[in-house]
Amino acid sequence: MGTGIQGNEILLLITVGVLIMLLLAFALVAFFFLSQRKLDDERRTAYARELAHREQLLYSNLQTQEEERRRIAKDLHDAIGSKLNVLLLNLHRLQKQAPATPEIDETVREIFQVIHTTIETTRRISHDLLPPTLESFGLSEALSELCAQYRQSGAVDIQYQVNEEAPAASNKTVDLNLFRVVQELLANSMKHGPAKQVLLQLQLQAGGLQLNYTDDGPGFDPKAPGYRPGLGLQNIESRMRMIGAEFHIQSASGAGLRASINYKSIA
Amino acid sequence: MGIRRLPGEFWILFAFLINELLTEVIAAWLSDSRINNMPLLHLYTLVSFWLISFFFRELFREKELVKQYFWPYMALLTLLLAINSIWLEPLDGFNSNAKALVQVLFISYGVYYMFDAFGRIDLLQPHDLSISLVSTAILIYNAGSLFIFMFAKLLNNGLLSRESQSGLWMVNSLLYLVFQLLLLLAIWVQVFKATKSSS
Repeated sequence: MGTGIQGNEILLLITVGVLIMLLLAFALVAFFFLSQRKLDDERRTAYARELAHREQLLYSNLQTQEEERRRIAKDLHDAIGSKLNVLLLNLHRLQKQAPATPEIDETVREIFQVIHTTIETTRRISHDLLPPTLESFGLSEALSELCAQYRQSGAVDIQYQVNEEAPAASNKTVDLNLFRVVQELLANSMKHGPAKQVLLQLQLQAGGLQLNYTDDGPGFDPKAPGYRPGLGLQNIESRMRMIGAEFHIQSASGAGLRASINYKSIA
Repeated sequence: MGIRRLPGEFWILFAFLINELLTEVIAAWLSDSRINNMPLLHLYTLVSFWLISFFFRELFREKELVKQYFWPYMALLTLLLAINSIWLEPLDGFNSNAKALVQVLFISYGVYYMFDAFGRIDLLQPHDLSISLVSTAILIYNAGSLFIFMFAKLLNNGLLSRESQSGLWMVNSLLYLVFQLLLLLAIWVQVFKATKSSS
Protein backbone atom coordinates (compact mmCIF):
# COMPACT_ATOMS: atom_id res chain seq x y z
CA MET A 1 0.00 0.00 0.00
CA GLY A 2 2.84 2.34 1.02
CA THR A 3 4.69 1.50 -2.18
CA GLY A 4 1.54 2.30 -4.16
CA ILE A 5 1.22 5.78 -2.68
CA GLN A 6 4.90 6.42 -3.20
CA GLY A 7 4.57 5.21 -6.78
CA ASN A 8 1.61 7.53 -7.39
CA GLU A 9 3.52 10.44 -5.91
CA ILE A 10 6.47 9.72 -8.18
CA LEU A 11 4.16 9.41 -11.17
CA LEU A 12 2.52 12.72 -10.24
CA LEU A 13 5.92 14.36 -9.75
CA ILE A 14 7.18 13.12 -13.12
CA THR A 15 3.96 14.05 -14.92
CA VAL A 16 3.87 17.54 -13.41
CA GLY A 17 7.60 17.94 -14.12
CA VAL A 18 7.18 16.86 -17.74
CA LEU A 19 4.17 19.16 -18.19
CA ILE A 20 5.85 22.19 -16.61
CA MET A 21 9.04 21.70 -18.61
CA LEU A 22 7.08 21.22 -21.83
CA LEU A 23 4.97 24.27 -21.07
CA LEU A 24 8.08 26.36 -20.47
CA ALA A 25 9.74 25.03 -23.62
CA PHE A 26 6.65 25.65 -25.74
CA ALA A 27 6.22 29.13 -24.26
CA LEU A 28 9.83 30.01 -25.07
CA VAL A 29 9.60 28.56 -28.57
CA ALA A 30 6.28 30.32 -29.26
CA PHE A 31 7.64 33.61 -27.94
CA PHE A 32 10.79 33.20 -30.02
CA PHE A 33 9.04 32.38 -33.29
CA LEU A 34 6.15 34.85 -32.95
CA SER A 35 8.29 37.77 -31.80
CA GLN A 36 11.00 37.02 -34.34
CA ARG A 37 8.39 36.82 -37.09
CA LYS A 38 6.94 40.15 -36.00
CA LEU A 39 10.40 41.66 -35.92
CA ASP A 40 11.17 40.26 -39.39
CA ASP A 41 7.90 41.70 -40.73
CA GLU A 42 8.65 45.11 -39.23
CA ARG A 43 12.16 45.01 -40.65
CA ARG A 44 10.85 44.04 -44.06
CA THR A 45 8.18 46.76 -43.99
CA ALA A 46 10.80 49.36 -43.05
CA TYR A 47 13.08 48.11 -45.80
CA ALA A 48 10.25 48.19 -48.36
CA ARG A 49 9.40 51.73 -47.26
CA GLU A 50 13.03 52.77 -47.62
CA LEU A 51 13.20 51.16 -51.06
CA ALA A 52 10.00 52.91 -52.14
CA HIS A 53 11.41 56.20 -50.88
CA ARG A 54 14.66 55.66 -52.79
CA GLU A 55 12.66 54.70 -55.87
CA GLN A 56 10.59 57.86 -55.53
CA LEU A 57 13.76 59.92 -55.27
CA LEU A 58 15.09 58.24 -58.37
CA TYR A 59 11.85 58.89 -60.27
CA SER A 60 11.96 62.54 -59.26
CA ASN A 61 15.58 62.68 -60.32
CA LEU A 62 14.78 61.19 -63.71
CA GLN A 63 11.82 63.51 -64.19
CA THR A 64 13.90 66.55 -63.23
CA GLN A 65 16.59 65.38 -65.62
CA GLU A 66 14.08 65.12 -68.45
CA GLU A 67 12.57 68.51 -67.67
CA GLU A 68 16.04 70.04 -67.57
CA ARG A 69 16.93 68.40 -70.88
CA ARG A 70 13.71 69.71 -72.39
CA ARG A 71 14.44 73.22 -71.10
CA ILE A 72 18.05 73.21 -72.37
CA ALA A 73 16.96 71.80 -75.74
CA LYS A 74 14.29 74.51 -76.05
CA ASP A 75 16.75 77.25 -75.01
CA LEU A 76 19.36 75.99 -77.45
CA HIS A 77 16.84 75.87 -80.26
CA ASP A 78 14.89 79.05 -79.51
CA ALA A 79 17.53 81.36 -78.10
CA ILE A 80 20.93 80.33 -79.47
CA GLY A 81 19.68 78.71 -82.69
CA SER A 82 17.53 81.69 -83.70
CA LYS A 83 20.29 84.17 -82.81
CA LEU A 84 22.75 82.22 -84.90
CA ASN A 85 20.31 82.38 -87.80
CA VAL A 86 20.02 86.16 -87.36
CA LEU A 87 23.81 86.32 -87.33
CA LEU A 88 23.90 84.31 -90.55
CA LEU A 89 21.39 86.65 -92.24
CA ASN A 90 23.34 89.73 -91.16
CA LEU A 91 26.52 88.19 -92.44
CA HIS A 92 24.84 87.63 -95.82
CA ARG A 93 23.86 91.32 -95.83
CA LEU A 94 27.35 92.33 -94.85
CA GLN A 95 28.83 90.16 -97.58
CA LYS A 96 26.64 91.90 -100.19
CA GLN A 97 27.49 95.41 -98.94
CA ALA A 98 31.18 94.94 -98.19
CA PRO A 99 33.80 95.67 -100.87
CA ALA A 100 34.90 92.44 -102.53
CA THR A 101 38.52 91.88 -101.57
CA PRO A 102 40.09 88.40 -101.32
CA GLU A 103 40.88 88.95 -97.59
CA ILE A 104 37.28 89.92 -96.76
CA ASP A 105 35.88 87.05 -98.88
CA GLU A 106 38.14 84.56 -97.10
CA THR A 107 37.24 85.91 -93.65
CA VAL A 108 33.49 85.94 -94.42
CA ARG A 109 33.70 82.35 -95.76
CA GLU A 110 35.41 81.25 -92.55
CA ILE A 111 32.77 83.01 -90.43
CA PHE A 112 30.03 81.35 -92.51
CA GLN A 113 31.63 77.97 -91.89
CA VAL A 114 31.92 78.56 -88.15
CA ILE A 115 28.31 79.74 -87.93
CA HIS A 116 27.07 76.74 -89.97
CA THR A 117 29.04 74.35 -87.80
CA THR A 118 27.73 76.01 -84.65
CA ILE A 119 24.14 75.88 -85.91
CA GLU A 120 24.58 72.21 -86.79
CA THR A 121 26.19 71.42 -83.42
CA THR A 122 23.45 73.31 -81.55
CA ARG A 123 20.78 71.46 -83.52
CA ARG A 124 22.46 68.11 -82.83
CA ILE A 125 22.80 68.79 -79.13
CA SER A 126 19.22 70.00 -78.98
CA HIS A 127 18.02 66.88 -80.85
CA ASP A 128 20.07 64.61 -78.63
CA LEU A 129 18.58 66.21 -75.56
CA LEU A 130 15.04 65.90 -76.83
CA PRO A 131 14.40 64.46 -80.29
CA PRO A 132 11.76 66.65 -81.98
CA THR A 133 10.59 63.60 -83.92
CA LEU A 134 9.58 62.00 -80.64
CA GLU A 135 7.60 65.08 -79.65
CA SER A 136 6.01 65.54 -83.05
CA PHE A 137 5.61 62.03 -84.53
CA GLY A 138 5.81 59.62 -81.61
CA LEU A 139 7.95 56.70 -80.54
CA SER A 140 7.89 54.63 -83.71
CA GLU A 141 9.28 57.44 -85.89
CA ALA A 142 11.79 58.53 -83.25
CA LEU A 143 13.17 55.00 -82.98
CA SER A 144 13.35 54.77 -86.75
CA GLU A 145 15.37 58.01 -86.82
CA LEU A 146 17.62 56.82 -83.99
CA CYS A 147 18.34 53.56 -85.81
CA ALA A 148 19.04 55.45 -89.03
CA GLN A 149 21.59 57.63 -87.21
CA TYR A 150 23.41 54.56 -85.89
CA ARG A 151 23.22 52.88 -89.29
CA GLN A 152 24.72 55.95 -90.96
CA SER A 153 27.64 55.91 -88.56
CA GLY A 154 28.48 52.49 -90.02
CA ALA A 155 29.39 51.11 -86.59
CA VAL A 156 26.55 48.64 -86.41
CA ASP A 157 24.00 46.96 -88.64
CA ILE A 158 20.61 47.83 -87.14
CA GLN A 159 17.35 46.35 -88.26
CA TYR A 160 14.22 48.06 -87.09
CA GLN A 161 10.86 46.34 -87.47
CA VAL A 162 7.52 47.88 -86.58
CA ASN A 163 4.26 46.03 -86.38
CA GLU A 164 1.31 48.30 -85.82
CA GLU A 165 -1.66 46.14 -84.91
CA ALA A 166 -3.37 49.04 -83.22
CA PRO A 167 -2.77 52.76 -82.74
CA ALA A 168 -0.19 53.66 -80.14
CA ALA A 169 -1.65 53.48 -76.65
CA SER A 170 1.24 55.19 -74.91
CA ASN A 171 1.60 58.79 -73.81
CA LYS A 172 4.53 61.23 -74.12
CA THR A 173 6.12 60.24 -70.80
CA VAL A 174 5.98 56.55 -71.70
CA ASP A 175 7.35 57.24 -75.18
CA LEU A 176 10.19 59.34 -73.82
CA ASN A 177 11.18 56.70 -71.26
CA LEU A 178 11.04 53.89 -73.82
CA PHE A 179 13.13 55.99 -76.19
CA ARG A 180 15.72 56.62 -73.45
CA VAL A 181 15.84 52.88 -72.71
CA VAL A 182 16.54 52.06 -76.37
CA GLN A 183 19.20 54.80 -76.41
CA GLU A 184 20.79 53.23 -73.30
CA LEU A 185 20.65 49.71 -74.76
CA LEU A 186 22.23 50.89 -78.00
CA ALA A 187 24.92 52.81 -76.12
CA ASN A 188 25.67 49.66 -74.11
CA SER A 189 25.82 47.52 -77.26
CA MET A 190 28.36 49.95 -78.71
CA LYS A 191 30.35 50.30 -75.50
CA HIS A 192 30.74 46.66 -74.42
CA GLY A 193 31.81 44.65 -77.31
CA PRO A 194 30.84 46.20 -79.56
CA ALA A 195 27.89 44.41 -81.16
CA LYS A 196 27.87 44.06 -84.95
CA GLN A 197 24.15 43.45 -85.39
CA VAL A 198 21.15 44.78 -83.56
CA LEU A 199 17.51 43.92 -84.08
CA LEU A 200 14.87 46.24 -82.68
CA GLN A 201 11.22 45.22 -82.91
CA LEU A 202 8.30 47.39 -81.88
CA GLN A 203 4.84 45.93 -81.74
CA LEU A 204 1.99 48.31 -81.10
CA GLN A 205 -0.92 46.34 -79.68
CA ALA A 206 -4.35 47.27 -78.45
CA GLY A 207 -3.83 48.84 -75.05
CA GLY A 208 -0.05 48.62 -75.01
CA LEU A 209 3.13 47.79 -76.80
CA GLN A 210 5.93 45.23 -76.89
CA LEU A 211 9.51 46.17 -77.59
CA ASN A 212 12.22 43.58 -78.21
CA TYR A 213 15.91 44.34 -78.47
CA THR A 214 18.55 41.81 -79.52
CA ASP A 215 22.27 42.25 -80.09
CA ASP A 216 25.14 39.90 -80.88
CA GLY A 217 27.59 41.53 -78.46
CA PRO A 218 29.69 39.71 -75.88
CA GLY A 219 26.80 39.57 -73.37
CA PHE A 220 27.26 39.01 -69.68
CA ASP A 221 26.32 36.44 -67.08
CA PRO A 222 23.75 37.96 -64.71
CA LYS A 223 24.04 34.87 -62.46
CA ALA A 224 27.80 35.15 -62.09
CA PRO A 225 28.92 35.54 -58.47
CA GLY A 226 29.44 39.17 -57.59
CA TYR A 227 27.54 40.43 -60.64
CA ARG A 228 25.88 43.80 -60.03
CA PRO A 229 23.90 45.60 -62.72
CA GLY A 230 25.59 48.78 -63.92
CA LEU A 231 24.18 52.25 -63.58
CA GLY A 232 22.74 52.12 -67.12
CA LEU A 233 20.82 48.92 -66.45
CA GLN A 234 19.62 50.22 -63.09
CA ASN A 235 18.40 53.36 -64.85
CA ILE A 236 16.52 51.26 -67.40
CA GLU A 237 14.88 49.21 -64.65
CA SER A 238 13.89 52.36 -62.78
CA ARG A 239 12.42 53.97 -65.86
CA MET A 240 10.42 50.83 -66.61
CA ARG A 241 9.11 50.61 -63.06
CA MET A 242 8.24 54.29 -63.23
CA ILE A 243 5.94 53.81 -66.25
CA GLY A 244 4.71 50.43 -65.01
CA ALA A 245 6.25 48.37 -67.82
CA GLU A 246 7.66 44.86 -67.50
CA PHE A 247 11.32 44.61 -68.35
CA HIS A 248 13.18 41.33 -68.89
CA ILE A 249 16.76 40.86 -69.84
CA GLN A 250 18.43 37.65 -70.98
CA SER A 251 22.12 37.32 -71.53
CA ALA A 252 25.00 34.91 -71.17
CA SER A 253 28.71 35.27 -71.61
CA GLY A 254 29.42 35.34 -75.38
CA ALA A 255 25.75 34.97 -76.31
CA GLY A 256 24.61 38.55 -76.85
CA LEU A 257 21.73 40.22 -75.14
CA ARG A 258 17.96 40.02 -75.42
CA ALA A 259 15.80 42.59 -73.72
CA SER A 260 12.04 42.78 -73.84
CA ILE A 261 9.69 45.45 -72.62
CA ASN A 262 6.00 44.95 -72.24
CA TYR A 263 3.87 48.01 -71.58
CA LYS A 264 0.16 47.93 -70.91
CA SER A 265 -1.60 51.23 -70.65
CA ILE A 266 -4.05 51.73 -67.81
CA ALA A 267 -7.45 52.32 -69.36
CA MET B 1 21.02 24.77 -51.65
CA GLY B 2 21.90 21.13 -52.42
CA ILE B 3 23.47 18.66 -50.06
CA ARG B 4 27.11 19.25 -51.03
CA ARG B 5 27.12 22.87 -49.98
CA LEU B 6 25.62 22.27 -46.54
CA PRO B 7 27.25 24.23 -43.73
CA GLY B 8 29.44 22.34 -41.24
CA GLU B 9 26.81 22.19 -38.50
CA PHE B 10 24.54 20.13 -40.74
CA TRP B 11 27.18 17.47 -41.27
CA ILE B 12 27.44 17.23 -37.49
CA LEU B 13 23.66 16.91 -37.38
CA PHE B 14 23.87 14.06 -39.88
CA ALA B 15 26.49 12.37 -37.69
CA PHE B 16 24.16 12.83 -34.73
CA LEU B 17 21.27 11.22 -36.63
CA ILE B 18 23.46 8.30 -37.70
CA ASN B 19 24.50 7.86 -34.07
CA GLU B 20 20.80 7.84 -33.08
CA LEU B 21 19.97 5.22 -35.71
CA LEU B 22 22.92 2.97 -34.89
CA THR B 23 22.16 3.19 -31.18
CA GLU B 24 18.51 2.27 -31.75
CA VAL B 25 19.41 -0.68 -33.98
CA ILE B 26 22.14 -2.02 -31.70
CA ALA B 27 19.99 -1.50 -28.58
CA ALA B 28 17.12 -3.43 -30.17
CA TRP B 29 19.45 -6.22 -31.26
CA LEU B 30 21.01 -6.47 -27.78
CA SER B 31 17.57 -6.49 -26.21
CA ASP B 32 16.41 -9.26 -28.58
CA SER B 33 19.55 -11.21 -27.76
CA ARG B 34 18.77 -10.78 -24.05
CA ILE B 35 22.02 -8.88 -23.51
CA ASN B 36 22.01 -5.86 -21.20
CA ASN B 37 22.05 -2.79 -23.44
CA MET B 38 22.57 -0.26 -20.67
CA PRO B 39 26.29 0.25 -21.45
CA LEU B 40 25.16 1.44 -24.84
CA LEU B 41 23.10 4.19 -23.18
CA HIS B 42 26.23 5.42 -21.37
CA LEU B 43 28.12 5.53 -24.64
CA TYR B 44 25.17 7.12 -26.45
CA THR B 45 24.91 9.85 -23.80
CA LEU B 46 28.58 10.71 -24.24
CA VAL B 47 28.55 10.66 -28.06
CA SER B 48 25.33 12.67 -28.34
CA PHE B 49 26.78 15.19 -25.86
CA TRP B 50 29.85 15.58 -28.08
CA LEU B 51 27.88 15.90 -31.30
CA ILE B 52 25.26 18.36 -30.06
CA SER B 53 28.00 20.41 -28.38
CA PHE B 54 29.98 20.47 -31.64
CA PHE B 55 26.80 21.42 -33.49
CA PHE B 56 26.26 24.48 -31.29
CA ARG B 57 29.96 25.26 -31.30
CA GLU B 58 29.70 25.69 -35.09
CA LEU B 59 26.95 28.24 -34.51
CA PHE B 60 28.83 30.15 -31.83
CA ARG B 61 32.40 29.69 -33.02
CA GLU B 62 32.93 33.47 -33.13
CA LYS B 63 32.06 33.91 -29.46
CA GLU B 64 35.08 34.61 -27.32
CA LEU B 65 33.82 32.31 -24.57
CA VAL B 66 33.51 29.41 -27.00
CA LYS B 67 36.94 30.11 -28.51
CA GLN B 68 38.61 30.09 -25.12
CA TYR B 69 36.76 27.52 -23.08
CA PHE B 70 35.21 25.01 -25.48
CA TRP B 71 37.89 22.34 -25.25
CA PRO B 72 38.41 22.60 -21.46
CA TYR B 73 34.61 22.46 -21.11
CA MET B 74 34.39 19.37 -23.30
CA ALA B 75 37.24 17.70 -21.43
CA LEU B 76 35.67 18.48 -18.06
CA LEU B 77 32.22 17.22 -19.05
CA THR B 78 33.67 14.09 -20.67
CA LEU B 79 35.60 13.43 -17.46
CA LEU B 80 32.47 13.92 -15.37
CA LEU B 81 30.47 11.53 -17.55
CA ALA B 82 33.27 8.97 -17.39
CA ILE B 83 33.51 9.26 -13.59
CA ASN B 84 29.75 8.85 -13.34
CA SER B 85 29.80 5.73 -15.49
CA ILE B 86 32.76 4.18 -13.65
CA TRP B 87 31.94 4.95 -10.01
CA LEU B 88 28.49 6.43 -9.53
CA GLU B 89 26.18 4.72 -12.00
CA PRO B 90 27.73 1.47 -13.23
CA LEU B 91 27.63 0.65 -16.92
CA ASP B 92 25.03 -2.10 -16.49
CA GLY B 93 22.49 0.31 -14.96
CA PHE B 94 20.63 3.42 -15.92
CA ASN B 95 22.75 6.61 -16.10
CA SER B 96 20.11 9.04 -14.82
CA ASN B 97 22.66 11.55 -13.48
CA ALA B 98 24.64 11.75 -16.69
CA LYS B 99 21.54 11.77 -18.87
CA ALA B 100 19.87 14.50 -16.79
CA LEU B 101 23.06 16.59 -16.80
CA VAL B 102 23.44 16.26 -20.58
CA GLN B 103 19.77 17.08 -21.11
CA VAL B 104 20.05 20.20 -18.93
CA LEU B 105 23.06 21.24 -21.03
CA PHE B 106 21.12 20.64 -24.25
CA ILE B 107 18.23 22.73 -22.92
CA SER B 108 20.72 25.48 -22.05
CA TYR B 109 22.16 25.36 -25.58
CA GLY B 110 18.66 25.70 -27.08
CA VAL B 111 17.65 28.53 -24.74
CA TYR B 112 20.95 30.33 -25.30
CA TYR B 113 20.54 30.03 -29.08
CA MET B 114 17.07 31.58 -28.90
CA PHE B 115 18.20 34.49 -26.75
CA ASP B 116 21.30 35.05 -28.84
CA ALA B 117 19.59 34.73 -32.23
CA PHE B 118 16.52 36.79 -31.36
CA GLY B 119 16.44 39.97 -33.43
CA ARG B 120 19.59 38.97 -35.28
CA ILE B 121 18.19 36.34 -37.62
CA ASP B 122 15.60 36.34 -40.40
CA LEU B 123 13.19 33.42 -40.31
CA LEU B 124 12.58 33.71 -44.05
CA GLN B 125 16.20 32.70 -44.61
CA PRO B 126 16.38 28.88 -44.82
CA HIS B 127 19.54 28.59 -42.72
CA ASP B 128 18.17 30.71 -39.89
CA LEU B 129 14.82 28.92 -39.93
CA SER B 130 16.51 25.53 -40.09
CA ILE B 131 18.80 26.18 -37.12
CA SER B 132 15.86 27.57 -35.16
CA LEU B 133 13.93 24.37 -35.87
CA VAL B 134 16.85 22.22 -34.71
CA SER B 135 17.10 24.26 -31.51
CA THR B 136 13.34 23.95 -31.01
CA ALA B 137 13.56 20.18 -31.48
CA ILE B 138 16.41 19.89 -28.99
CA LEU B 139 14.68 22.17 -26.50
CA ILE B 140 11.26 20.50 -26.61
CA TYR B 141 12.50 16.91 -26.56
CA ASN B 142 15.00 17.40 -23.76
CA ALA B 143 12.71 19.60 -21.67
CA GLY B 144 9.87 17.10 -22.04
CA SER B 145 11.90 13.99 -21.30
CA LEU B 146 14.18 15.46 -18.63
CA PHE B 147 11.96 14.35 -15.73
CA ILE B 148 11.42 10.91 -17.24
CA PHE B 149 15.16 10.23 -17.47
CA MET B 150 15.84 11.86 -14.09
CA PHE B 151 13.55 9.31 -12.47
CA ALA B 152 14.37 6.47 -14.86
CA LYS B 153 16.15 4.48 -12.15
CA LEU B 154 13.08 4.67 -9.94
CA LEU B 155 10.88 3.62 -12.85
CA ASN B 156 12.99 0.54 -13.37
CA ASN B 157 12.98 -0.29 -9.66
CA GLY B 158 9.35 -1.28 -9.83
CA LEU B 159 7.99 1.65 -7.86
CA LEU B 160 5.49 2.32 -10.59
CA SER B 161 2.99 0.00 -12.15
CA ARG B 162 3.88 -1.44 -15.53
CA GLU B 163 1.10 0.67 -17.17
CA SER B 164 2.42 3.89 -15.64
CA GLN B 165 5.96 3.02 -16.72
CA SER B 166 4.96 2.26 -20.28
CA GLY B 167 2.80 5.40 -20.31
CA LEU B 168 5.79 7.55 -19.44
CA TRP B 169 8.04 5.82 -21.97
CA MET B 170 5.30 6.35 -24.56
CA VAL B 171 5.36 10.07 -23.77
CA ASN B 172 9.13 9.94 -24.28
CA SER B 173 8.67 8.10 -27.59
CA LEU B 174 6.11 10.66 -28.72
CA LEU B 175 8.46 13.51 -27.87
CA TYR B 176 11.26 11.66 -29.65
CA LEU B 177 9.05 11.36 -32.74
CA VAL B 178 8.36 15.12 -32.63
CA PHE B 179 12.12 15.65 -32.20
CA GLN B 180 12.94 13.57 -35.28
CA LEU B 181 10.19 15.20 -37.36
CA LEU B 182 11.44 18.67 -36.48
CA LEU B 183 14.98 17.67 -37.42
CA LEU B 184 13.69 16.27 -40.71
CA LEU B 185 11.85 19.52 -41.37
CA ALA B 186 14.97 21.52 -40.51
CA ILE B 187 17.10 19.53 -42.96
CA TRP B 188 14.42 19.80 -45.64
CA VAL B 189 14.28 23.58 -45.18
CA GLN B 190 18.07 23.88 -45.38
CA VAL B 191 18.49 21.60 -48.39
CA PHE B 192 15.47 22.44 -50.53
CA LYS B 193 14.34 25.97 -49.74
CA ALA B 194 15.94 28.69 -51.78
CA THR B 195 17.55 31.59 -49.99
CA LYS B 196 15.42 34.72 -50.19
CA SER B 197 16.99 38.03 -50.82
CA SER B 198 15.94 40.77 -48.54
CA SER B 199 17.51 43.37 -46.36
